[in-house]
Amino acid sequence: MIAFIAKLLTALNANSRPGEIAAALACGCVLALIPGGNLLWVVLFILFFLLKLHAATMLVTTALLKPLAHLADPLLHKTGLFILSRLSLQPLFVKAATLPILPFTHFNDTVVMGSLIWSIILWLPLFLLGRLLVKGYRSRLAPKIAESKVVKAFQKIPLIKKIGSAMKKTSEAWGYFAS
Amino acid sequence: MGVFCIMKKLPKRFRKALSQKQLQKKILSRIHLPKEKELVRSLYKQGDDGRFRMEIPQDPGTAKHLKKLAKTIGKNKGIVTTWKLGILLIPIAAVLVFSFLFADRLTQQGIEQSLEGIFGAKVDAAGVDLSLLSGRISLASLTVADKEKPMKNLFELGPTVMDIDLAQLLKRRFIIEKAESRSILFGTDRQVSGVLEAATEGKGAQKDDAKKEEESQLGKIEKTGQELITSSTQSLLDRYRSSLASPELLTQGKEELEGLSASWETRVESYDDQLRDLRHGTEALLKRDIGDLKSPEAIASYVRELSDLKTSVQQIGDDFESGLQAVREDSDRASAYTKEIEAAVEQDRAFLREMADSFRSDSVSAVGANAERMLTERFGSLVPTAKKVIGYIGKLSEEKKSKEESSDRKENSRQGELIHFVDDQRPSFLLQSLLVEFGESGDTGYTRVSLSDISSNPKGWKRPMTLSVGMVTDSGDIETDTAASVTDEGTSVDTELNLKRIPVETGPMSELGIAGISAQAAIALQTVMDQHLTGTGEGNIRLEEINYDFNPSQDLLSRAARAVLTENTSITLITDFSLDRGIISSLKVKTDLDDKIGKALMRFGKQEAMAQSEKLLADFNASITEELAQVKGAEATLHALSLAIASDKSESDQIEREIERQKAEAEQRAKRIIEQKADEGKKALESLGRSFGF
Repeated sequence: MIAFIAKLLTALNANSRPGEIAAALACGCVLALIPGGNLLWVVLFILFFLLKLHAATMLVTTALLKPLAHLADPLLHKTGLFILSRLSLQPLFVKAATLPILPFTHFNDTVVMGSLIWSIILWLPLFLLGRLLVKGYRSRLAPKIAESKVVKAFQKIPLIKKIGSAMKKTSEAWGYFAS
Repeated sequence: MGVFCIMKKLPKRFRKALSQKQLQKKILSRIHLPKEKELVRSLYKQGDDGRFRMEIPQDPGTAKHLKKLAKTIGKNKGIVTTWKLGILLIPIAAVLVFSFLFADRLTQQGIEQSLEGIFGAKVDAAGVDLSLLSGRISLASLTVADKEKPMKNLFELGPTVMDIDLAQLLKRRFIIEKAESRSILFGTDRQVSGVLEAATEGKGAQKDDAKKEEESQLGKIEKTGQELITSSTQSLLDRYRSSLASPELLTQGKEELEGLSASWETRVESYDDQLRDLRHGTEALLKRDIGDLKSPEAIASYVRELSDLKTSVQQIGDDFESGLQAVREDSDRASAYTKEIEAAVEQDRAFLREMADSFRSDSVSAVGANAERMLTERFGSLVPTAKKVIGYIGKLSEEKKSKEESSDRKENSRQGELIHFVDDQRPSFLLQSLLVEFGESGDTGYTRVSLSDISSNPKGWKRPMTLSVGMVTDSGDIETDTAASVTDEGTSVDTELNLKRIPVETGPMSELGIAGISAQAAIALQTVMDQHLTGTGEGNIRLEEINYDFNPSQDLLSRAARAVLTENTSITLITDFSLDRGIISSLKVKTDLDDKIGKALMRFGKQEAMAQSEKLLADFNASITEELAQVKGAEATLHALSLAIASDKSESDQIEREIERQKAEAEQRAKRIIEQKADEGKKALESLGRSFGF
C-alpha cells in the first residue's frame, strides 16, 4: 500500500498523463462502488488493468473507498430497483438473462445494477475532476512544494539523501541483473 | 566520466525533423510537466525548411534528462498496455492448454476430492473422460468407500455418462441433457482400506476417540443389560444369600437339636436299661405268693425287701421324673427354635420374593432403558446405506447452506435484491433424461429407472413437466405408478409416486440373529415443492411378504426379534422429509417395529427375570427344606424321647404301685397271721384258763 502511495506521488510529479491518473482514479471509484464476486467486477478489473491507467492510483483508490462503499448501498439499491423494474426494459433484461455469460454479471442484483448506473454517471465527472486536480497540482501546487523551505530542508537531511541514493543504486542493480 | 561526456546522438524520438503540428502532437502534447515542456521546446529550433529539429544539448545533465524524457513520451502513447495484455494472455493460454491436456486427470481428482470431502472416505474414479466441446463427462467406474466399514464400499457405480449443455451453462443454467449410470452396487467388498489418510490424524483421530468412547459406553450398557437379563442372576442370588437369616439359624438349630436329640437318646436308653433291670428285679419279688409266707417274720422280711425295692423304684422314678422334666423343657425349646427357624425361613422367603420382584423390575427397566439404544444401534444395520446416504445428503445440504451463508455474509452488505427475469425457454435447472440401472440384486436381476424432463422451474419454462418412472426387472414383478402434477397457480409442484412392488433384500443382521430378509416394498411418496424444489413431503413405505432367515441364535434380542418379526410379515415406515433446493434437508422415519421389538424385548426380559426369580426361590426352598426337616426331625425325636421317658416313668410308678400293693398284701397277711396267731393263743389261753378253771 505504501509502495502504491509512493508510486502515486511519483506519478503526480513525473511526466505521466494527467488523464491516466484521473482515469485510474475514476476506475478505482467504479471498482469500489460495484460489489465484488461477480463477473462484471472481474471484467471491469481486467479491462482497467489492460488500459493505460495508473494502476497504483486505481488500486489505492479502490482500497480506500471499498470499505466505505456499503454506505451508498441504499441509494444503489433504489437506483437498481428502479432500473430493473422498468417494464419498458423488461425485454432487454429477459434477453440479457438468456444470453451466455451475462447472467454471471449479476446484473439482476439491484445493488450491482445501481452501482453500474452510478459508475457510468460518475465516471466522466470523476475523470474530469481528477484531471483538473492533477493539472492544478502540477501547475500550481507542485512548484510551490518543490520550492518550499520545508521540502528543501527535508531533502537535505543526510539520511533521506542516503536512502534516496541507496534506492536508486539498488533499482539500477536489479535492473542490470534482470537484463 | 559520463558527466563530462558530450552527447553524440540524440534519442531516436528527437532525431526526426518535425513540422509545427507534428512537434505539438508527437512530442509536446505528451509532455505534461510545464518545465520539461519548456525545455524541449527550447531545444527544438526551426530550420530553413520550416521544420523543427532538436539541437544536441551541450549540457550532459540535459542530455541525460532527454533520454528519460524520450522514454516517458513513448509511454504516454496509446490506450492499451500491450505487455499487460501479454501477461494476461500467457496464463490464460497456459491454463487452457494445461486443462486441455490434463482435463481428465483434473476432473478425476476434482470428483474424487469433492466426494471424499462429502463421504469422508476414499473415492476412486476410473476412466474419467471430460469432453469440453461436447460437454460430456463419463466415468468407467466410481467406488465410494464406507467410512465406518473401510473394507466395504458404500456404493459402486458402473459406467456413467452425463451430458451437460455447455451453452446453457454459460447462461447460468444447469441443463443435464442425459445422465446414465449402470451397475449400481451397494456394500461390495474392497481390496484396500477406504480410510482417508488425513482422517486418521488430527481431527479424524478426535472423532474416532469420541466414537470409541460412545461405543464403549454403549457396550457397557449392553453388557449390563445382558448381565441383568441372564448371567447376573446367580451373582444376585449369591448377593441376596448373604442377607438371609434362616440358613445360619437352620444350621445352628440343626446342630443343637440333633445334639440334644442324640444325648437324650442315650439317656433314654439308660432309663430303659434301668427300667429293664428294675422290672427284672421286681418281677420275682412281686410274683412271690404271699400265701406261702407263713410267718410274720417271713412276711416282715418280704415287706422289708419290698420297701427296699420301693425305695429303688422311687429313686428311679425320681430320675425319670427329672429326666422327663428336662426332656420336656428341651422339647419345648426345640419347638420354639423350630418355630423361630420357620419364621426366619418365611422372612427370608418374603425377602427373596421382594428381591425377586425388584430384580424383575430391575431387569425389565434395564431392558427397557437399554432396548431403545440397543435397537437403534442394531437396527442401524438394517438400512446402513440409506442412513449414511441420508447423513451425507444432510451434510451436503448443510455444507451448501453454510457456503451460501458464508458467501452471503461475505457480500452481505453488498447484496441487493435479486430480480428474476423469467426465461420462457428454459428453466435454471433441467434434467432432461436420467437413466439409472442397478446391478445384480440377489436373484432379481437389475432395475432400470428412467426420469425425464425434471425441472426446477416448471412455471417459467411453461412446458408441461413430465416425470416418468419405469422400472423393469428380469422377472418383471415390479409395478410402478407415477403421477406428477404441475400447477400454474402459484409456484408449487405436487408429486405423487407409488411404487407397488419392489423386491428388497438385506444382508445378515447378526445382532438380531437374522441371516437375511427378503420382502416386497410398496412406496408412496407425496411432495409439495416450489419452483426451487424446496418444500415438504411425506412417504409411506410398506414392506410386504417379508421372509426372514433366522440364525439359530438364542440370545434375548434375537428371540425378541424373532417373536416380533415372525408375527409381522408386513412393516410400515412413515417418513416425513423436507426438501431444500432439491436436496433432502431433513428426514424423519417412524415405524412401530422398534416399539414392537422393544415391547417384545421387555416381555422376554420380564419372562426371563420371572424364571430366574422363581429359580431363586426354588433354589432357596430346596436348600432349606432338608435342613428344616432335619431340625423338625430332631424336634420330633425329642418329643418322642420325652414320651418314652414319660412311659418309663409311668412304668416305674406302676412298679412302685405294685410294690405298694404287694407290700400292703404282705402286711395284711402278716396281720392276719398275727391275728390268727393271737386267736390261736387266745384260744389256747382260754382252753388253758378253762383247764385251770378261769
